[in-house]
Amino acid sequence: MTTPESSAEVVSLGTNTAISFDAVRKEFGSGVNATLAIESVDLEIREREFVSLIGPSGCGKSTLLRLAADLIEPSGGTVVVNGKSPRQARLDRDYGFIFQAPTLFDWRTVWKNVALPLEIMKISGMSREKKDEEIERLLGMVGLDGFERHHPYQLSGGMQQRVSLARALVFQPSILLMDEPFGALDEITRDRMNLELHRIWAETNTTILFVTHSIPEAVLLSGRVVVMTARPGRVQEIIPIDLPYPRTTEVEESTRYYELVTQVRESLGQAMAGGL
Amino acid sequence: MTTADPVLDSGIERPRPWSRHAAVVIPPLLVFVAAIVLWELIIEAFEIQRFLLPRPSEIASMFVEDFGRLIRQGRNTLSVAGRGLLLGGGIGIALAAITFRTRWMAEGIGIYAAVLKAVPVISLAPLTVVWFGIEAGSKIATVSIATAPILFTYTLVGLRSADANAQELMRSYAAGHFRTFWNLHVPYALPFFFSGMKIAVTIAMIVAIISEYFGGSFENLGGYIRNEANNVHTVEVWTAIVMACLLGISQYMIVAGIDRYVLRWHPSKRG
Repeated sequence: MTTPESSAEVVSLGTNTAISFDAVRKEFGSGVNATLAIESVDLEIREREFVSLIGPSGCGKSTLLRLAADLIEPSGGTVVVNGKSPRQARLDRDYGFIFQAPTLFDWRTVWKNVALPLEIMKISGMSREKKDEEIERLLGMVGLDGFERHHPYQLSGGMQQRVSLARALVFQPSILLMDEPFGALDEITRDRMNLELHRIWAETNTTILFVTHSIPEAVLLSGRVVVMTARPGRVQEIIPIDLPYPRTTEVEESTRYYELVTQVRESLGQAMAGGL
Repeated sequence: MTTADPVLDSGIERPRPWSRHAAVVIPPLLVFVAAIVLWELIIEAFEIQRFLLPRPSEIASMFVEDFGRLIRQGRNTLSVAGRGLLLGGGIGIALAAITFRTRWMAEGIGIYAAVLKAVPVISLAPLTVVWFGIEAGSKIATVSIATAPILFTYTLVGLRSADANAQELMRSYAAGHFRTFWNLHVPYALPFFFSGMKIAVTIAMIVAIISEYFGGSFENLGGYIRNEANNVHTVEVWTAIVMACLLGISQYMIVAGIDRYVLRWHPSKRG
């Protein structure tokens, strides 16, 4: 594990807002069959911030993420991404989306999977050599050197998810939207992926909005944890995580870490009680 | 950097051991030999007349003797089947590609595809003769009508099978319709396309022979069968049947081979 060169640099956030939700409401279906997924959600995420969304299932945390990604549209309120509408942000390729399933293309090699966004986006001012270099660098960063020519089915679940991470980073989006990316992995792999993700976040200038079910994961990774209520989802509480950087295994064993985990758990308990 | 997980050993394809090839090839071969022997014995035992059922050995020697002509006729039939499949398959695939995103359009066509698949070819053959004449044109048309719905249905299901997350991924890249079609839907459709082709090549051959049987040139398998059957040349009819079988099987195997090569990344091909 390499440590970031300066831990002070890691916590310095940008001054601009990366994503903002203002009185956002989302209803699925219509008429009598309509379900209200989220209601009156106000949330601001600053540039360079790492924010986790946590809440009971069906609380609309994925819905928030998909609203920011312009995969769905809000029923009310406004979502702003990098000062633009989510649609414009999508067209400008401002964010990378990572699903719970790796969502790799089976017919492409690892290398070609990572190259896919570059093929589609035809990024100007990036030569072929530059692209190749970037893919190589990212595959190294996620620990997959030597697997360039493998197909997804030849990799374990954890490795597949790392390919998906490299693919999301290759076009250097300023925002990563991650929908329970490690939810399907075993705990050991998950721990390692978390630390790797945290390192990548520290090394790049990326804003991360991270949906998770796991309290320890949320506390370990984030600058702030957003606890959401049961359906319809609202923001129950925003808990700042004042743990030192870089977040390592030692941080995970500190007393403060356990206090914060407890605090999030209690808040989540209240959120669920409120929903019943 | 932490080290990578070990590659799951499922990965790298190992050549199949010979015993597994043999297990696939030998049982059908044994059945074939047994059937031939039985056939010969039955003719011997019951003294069946030659014009009713000739001996396999007779058919075999006639097949060798007439091989040049059978190949020539087979090639003509194959050409009709091939052109019909190209036309019909092309129409079916194009319709699937145009309509797969629009549910009501795909279903509107889908019903007629189902109806066409249920129509007996025999009833089509005389009609196409009226429309397109007695020679190749009408036969190509009949083959097209028989194969278009097959490829439409299979391709449609395939194009629609694209993973929902993968579609959203393409959307998140702001990929255009054509990009998404080519990079995502086509690879998802390929396994279904090949399944459809495996059925369509054999159907094309059968329909070509049936429509040749209904008239036109004798210089093809269907015409030859008609002519020889009228003259009660049973052995000759059988040689044409054998040729038709061989052509059908080899087409199927060619398609299956291409399928296995093109889709070597696909879960179903990784035994």
